[in-house]
Formats: sequence, C-alpha cells, structure tokens
Amino acid sequence: MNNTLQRDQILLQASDIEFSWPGQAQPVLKIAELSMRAGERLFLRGPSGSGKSSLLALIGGLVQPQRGVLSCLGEDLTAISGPKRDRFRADHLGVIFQQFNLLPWLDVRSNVVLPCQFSKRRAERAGDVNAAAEDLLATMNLEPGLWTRRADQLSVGQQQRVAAARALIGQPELVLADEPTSALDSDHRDDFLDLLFAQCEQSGSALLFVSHDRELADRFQRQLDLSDINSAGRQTGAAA
Amino acid sequence: MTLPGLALRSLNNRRFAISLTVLTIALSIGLLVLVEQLRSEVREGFYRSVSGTDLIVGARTAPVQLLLYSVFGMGEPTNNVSWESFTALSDLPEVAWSVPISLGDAYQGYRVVGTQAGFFEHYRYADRQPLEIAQGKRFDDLFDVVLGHQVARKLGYGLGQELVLAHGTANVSLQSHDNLPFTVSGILAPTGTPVDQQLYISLSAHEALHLGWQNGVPRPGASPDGDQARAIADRLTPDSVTAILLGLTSRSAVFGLQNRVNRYTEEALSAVLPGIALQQLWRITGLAEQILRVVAGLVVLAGLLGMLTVLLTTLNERRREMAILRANGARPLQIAGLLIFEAGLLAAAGILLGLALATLVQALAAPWLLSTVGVNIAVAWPSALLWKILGMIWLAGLIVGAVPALLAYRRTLADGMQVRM
Amino acid sequence: MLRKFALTVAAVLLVSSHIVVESLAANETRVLEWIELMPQSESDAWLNDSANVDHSGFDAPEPFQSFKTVPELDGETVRIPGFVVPIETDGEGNLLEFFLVPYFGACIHVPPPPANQLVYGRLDEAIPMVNIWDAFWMEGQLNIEEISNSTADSAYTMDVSSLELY
Repeated sequence: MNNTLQRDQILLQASDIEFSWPGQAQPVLKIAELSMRAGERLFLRGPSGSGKSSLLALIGGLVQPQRGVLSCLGEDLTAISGPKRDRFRADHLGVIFQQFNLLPWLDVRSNVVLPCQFSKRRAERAGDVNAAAEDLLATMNLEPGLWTRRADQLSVGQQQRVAAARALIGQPELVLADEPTSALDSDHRDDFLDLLFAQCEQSGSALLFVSHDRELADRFQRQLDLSDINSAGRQTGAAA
Repeated sequence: MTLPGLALRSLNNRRFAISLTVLTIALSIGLLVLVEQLRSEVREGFYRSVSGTDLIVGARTAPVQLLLYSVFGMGEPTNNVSWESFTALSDLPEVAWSVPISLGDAYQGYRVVGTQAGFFEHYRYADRQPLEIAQGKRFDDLFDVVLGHQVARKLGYGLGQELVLAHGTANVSLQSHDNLPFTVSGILAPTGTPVDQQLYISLSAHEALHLGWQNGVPRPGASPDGDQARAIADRLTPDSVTAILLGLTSRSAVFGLQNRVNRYTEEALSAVLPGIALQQLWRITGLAEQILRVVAGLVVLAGLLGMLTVLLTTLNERRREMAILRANGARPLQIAGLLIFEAGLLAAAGILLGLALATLVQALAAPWLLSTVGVNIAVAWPSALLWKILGMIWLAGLIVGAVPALLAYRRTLADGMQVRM
Repeated sequence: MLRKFALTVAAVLLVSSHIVVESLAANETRVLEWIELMPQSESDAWLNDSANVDHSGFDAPEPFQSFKTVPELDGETVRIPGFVVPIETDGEGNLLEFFLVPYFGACIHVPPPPANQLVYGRLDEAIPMVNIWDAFWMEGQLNIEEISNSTADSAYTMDVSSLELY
C-alpha cells in the first residue's frame, strides 16, 4: 500500500490492542482505540514506564500485539510477517530517539542517508539522496562544515537535529519521536521543535511525539494522555 | 553506503582490537602453512637428490642410515666396505656401473668425498639430470679437488685456489693434512642437492691423505709430501670404501642382487633401494610431522576462538548500533548478515596475511636449510590441497561469525525501539 | 500418483543400466593373477622344487629362478594387484617409474620374487608419490621386452593407465 494519503485521511488506526513483552505476565498496553490522520501532529504524554516506548515499538512494527488490530496506511501490521513489517517501517516511518540516534563512527551525511539504504521507496522519493540529505541538514541549521564530520563529534543539540533530518529524508508518512527534546536545554528545545514542525509540514509527514514534558503539549494540534487511553499502565512497574 | 560498506566503517572504528584479531589468525595460519609447505618441500628436495642409482651398498646398517650418510652427508658411517667386495660387485654382469665413495674428511664444515671419475658421469639428480661442470674440469692431477656450487660460492673460491683439508667431519678439526695441499680444478653447476655442499677428490688422493696415519692420528715422519705421493699414485688403492653406488644393466635384476648382497657371508653388507629407504625415512619423520600438524590445527582453532571472543565481547557495546539500524528499517537477518560478513572479512584477511608470513619465513629460512641439510626450498604457490584446507578454515570462520550473528538476531527481535537493559 | 510411480521406475531403470554398463566395462579388463605371469612348465617346477642353497660369494643363485615370460600376454590390457617399489621420480618427487611386486618386503628382508613375478610400470604423467606399504591395483597394457641379463631373457613392463588403492 504505497498510496500517498490526502490530508486528514486516516493514517493510523489501532483497535483493542493488548500487548505484553515476552516473559511478562501483565500486559503493558491495553488500548481500546487510537487513531491519527495524515499530516497530524499528535502529542502523547506519558511518564517513563507508562508503556510509551512499547507503543512506539508496536507502531514501528518491531513487535506484535497479542490481541487487536493495528492498521497503518491501509496495511494491517498485525497480519503481516516480520520482514514485511521491517520493510514497511523502512518505507513509511522515520524514528527519533531521545539520544544516541546516530552511528557514532559514521559521518553526518551518511547517517542522514541511512533509511534510503533500507528502502528503495525512500531513496526514490528523496531523488538525489546526497543532495536531499544536504538540503535537510541545511534546513536544520547545520552548516556544511559539519556534514563530513564524524557524528560523535557534534554536540547533543546538533546530533538531535541530524536525527530529525534523517527521520525526514524521503518524506516518510509518519515520524515517531520518543522524547527527542528531553536531553536538550529549553532554548535548543524550542528551536528544535520549530525546525521539526516546519520540515514535517514541508514533507506532509504526520508526527507522533511522545514525551513527559507538559510544557510542549500546547504547541501541538492534538494532545493525549497515554494513561487515559491505556488501561494497563497502572498495574505494571516493568520498564518499557 | 552499502551494508558491506557499513561493516567496513564499523570495523575501522574498532581497528585496534580488529588488527590484533587478524594478527592472531594470521600467525596461526602462517604456522599451519609453514608446516605443510616445509614438509612437502623437504620431501621433494630429498627425492630430487638421488636419481638413476639402482642400489647403494655399504657396511651392514639400517637402510635409512646408509642413505643419509652416503647421499646426504648426514650422520656417520658405522663401518666400511672392503675393496675386494667392491671389485667383486663391479665385475658382476648385471652391474652396468659402480661408483665408490669414501668419506672421512672435511673442509670448513663441508664434507670431502673421495670418489672416481665415474661419479660425475653416473650420478643423477631430479629428473635424471646429470651433473654439469660449470667451470674447469674434473680431477686430473692427484691433488685436484672439484667443488660443489655452494662451497665455491660461500667461500668465494675460484679455479686454482689452494686448500688444506682437515681430518674428521666435525666443524673444526684439530688435525689437518697440511703436507698435501689441494688445488681447485673444477666447480660444479648448482643442483639444489647435497652435491652443492661437498668437495670431491679422487679416491687415490683420499688414500694418499691417510698414508702413514694410524687410528686417526698421523705418525710423525710417516706421511709423504705431494711429489712422493704422485710418484706412487697408481699404487694408491684403498683397502676399503665407505659406500658404493650401483647402476644395473637391467632393472629387473635389482631385487636379486640386493638379496645376495644382504646375505653375503664374506662381509656384513647392506644394499638399499633409494626410493624405499626414503619412504622408510618418511615413516620415521611422519610421526613428528603428524604431531606438528595437529599442533598447527589447534593453534588455528585458538585463533578462531580468539576472533569469536572479540566479536562476542563487542556485541554488547554494539546493541545501540543495532537498535539504530533496526529503527531505520534493517531486518534482523541483515544485522546477522553484517556480523557474518565481518567474521568472513577478518578470517580472509588473517588467512592472506598468514600466507604472506609463511612465504616470508620460508624465503628467510631457505638459505639456512640449504647449508644445513643441502636441500633447496623453492618457495611455491600453495598446493591445491592447501587451498582447500584454507578454504575450509575460512568457512569455519564464517561459522564462528554465525554465533554472535545468531545472538544479535535474537536480541534485536527482543529489543524494541529502545535497547532494553 | 501415477507421475510419482513413473518417476520412480525411470530412476530405477537409470540406476540399474548404469550398474550394468559399469560392470561390463570392468569385465573388459582382465584381472591377472601373478601365477599367470609364469609359464605353466615353470610354475609346475616351482611347486616341486626344493631349495638349493649356496650363499658363497655374490654369484650364488637365488633359491628359485624363473626366467621365461608367457608370450600370449604381450600387448594385453590387464589389471593386477601388488605393492609398489618406486624407482624413478620427476624433479618434484612425483612417481614416474616403479616395480609392482606380489608381496610386501620384496626389497627389504624376504627373498626376492623371480624375474617373471615383477612388472616394471611406467607412467605417462608423474603422480604424487604413493605409500610403499599400501597395495594397489595396476592397470594398463602389458608388454614383454627383451633384455640381456644373466637372470632373465625378457621382462614384463607395463604402460600404466591407472594405479588405484586396493
């Protein structure tokens, strides 16, 4: 399913999801319903341990729920095999972690280009892959002098912006961000969000932003509390 | 940037530990290759050294021992063959030619061989190659000496050089035959056999040297000088010789003659077929060779386990790396493949470096082996069998890589978006 | 179902025809026994002979002499088992010419075989040196060559086409 969605069409639909990590008795996620539209910016609030990382792992297709249906871009992720989910993630998703996003021994530009290696679709949509990477880096306010440096030679703020550029190369339909600003100070945090929003707008990507920081919530079109939609979160204390 | 490209960059990032791993494997492979190649090259060198001689006759002794001291100048003869036996053998109708040799003297550590002109005619090496005189001629005058190629080269001697032979085959002798100096009349072309390491004088000259000697010590006043010796040259027939090389008129007679020599009642003699004696030698050395091979194999195993250790210990540090790759669309199989590719690369690098090391060691050791054993090591391309063995070791390296690959595969499946600690 | 059956039948036919062809080919080469190399008259004499032992000097005769060859065998392609005594090698230690003898030790400590119980084998191309302690099947064209010798008038030689481990 590689159709580009029109704005406001349903991008992601999760129903009756129940998920527990292998070896855990209690489910860490019990979600009746969650949906997102194309191009939407959704802020999902949840403290550590509330299952937010598990949810991202589910949407990213890295794990399967024990129960429920998760469909994204018309594709039922619960019904397809592991390799197909990996392909789906490569083709349609961008990911930003809280920190350590980049391969430290690889130069900045090669880091940005990484998703295009695993997805032909992303590479095609990016066009000239190196040029697209450079454009994105420039938009993220990273000067050309940094592009050939080793990734571990950049500051944390710079690294996060590189991660954002990487998540957005090839215009993926959905960007998953797991606490991307938690390691940044407040100035850098606001700059980062500005740049991220602008670029998401530019490529038409939806953004699922998970964080415990309430202050950021107002900048988003829509907010949700994970504990509101997740009926499992209260019992478990296991890390997710 | 392709996956192999990623692997290379990642290896480069860890290049110190990786270099050590490659070096370990290289040393182990080098040892294995060295053992294999030296073994076959030494054998080849021995086979090259004697050709066209049907039987070697000497005092009764073990066949291997007779072969070693008569052809290879290794070890000491136990006893001698009487001149009567030599003439009796030479007169037999089935004997086409007979060449006596007498040992007992040395020159600066090189063996001096007393023999007849027939030696230069009948001795063959490699594939029935005859000996060639590179410079000068065979012995003419009583005190002419013909040098093997290495002797002339190492000592820097040319035609006309004078030398005084020493008694005994030790490296240094306390008695020398200074009353009878020799002159170099000829230098042989190189053969790559013990011939290169020896000096050749006539049997009569050898006898002249020991006139007036008793029990290994010269009696004062009893030794003649050069001209006196030349005067009685035709009466200088030795009482005995050390060994006799025989060529037969018909090959089929060899077993019968050998049997008769071995059962000769007048004198205790042995006759050996060179090809058989060599194989008996390999049987003796074979055990040591097998042990060496087993040791080399174990060392290679140790090298591979070392690589396994390095890959496993860095696996934990690389979990973050793998999570990043996974998040960006890598399949678990691709991540496993990355690790196997790395192992294969390391093993291949180790094998190639090991081959280079072994070749280097052989090139360095060749001159020493030549002067000690008289055998020429030709540094050669590895044999087909050796390539097969190296190929299997490389496959073993891939299998070693499969261990961390499998672990990584299962871990990445278990990890989610973040690495779970 | 029928298809499977047909395939099985075809496979069986293929395998059995292969076996038949192989055994036919093997039957073409005559397997020789050592005693066949000795003329009938002499092998009879051997069975009746008592050892005539005289060990004085080198000219003493062997316990049993058998000189003659069997003319009918000249030019025959045969297969014969025996042990190898290497005689000639090439420059690299590979086997070129050798004797095939009926028993091990013919060259070491037991009485040697008579002249017509030896075959001198020549290889076109040198093969890696073989083990003298192993028995081999030698196959090739047997020839009878004239030699002038006190022990024999003619001898068996062979242009060896194959030397296989027994």
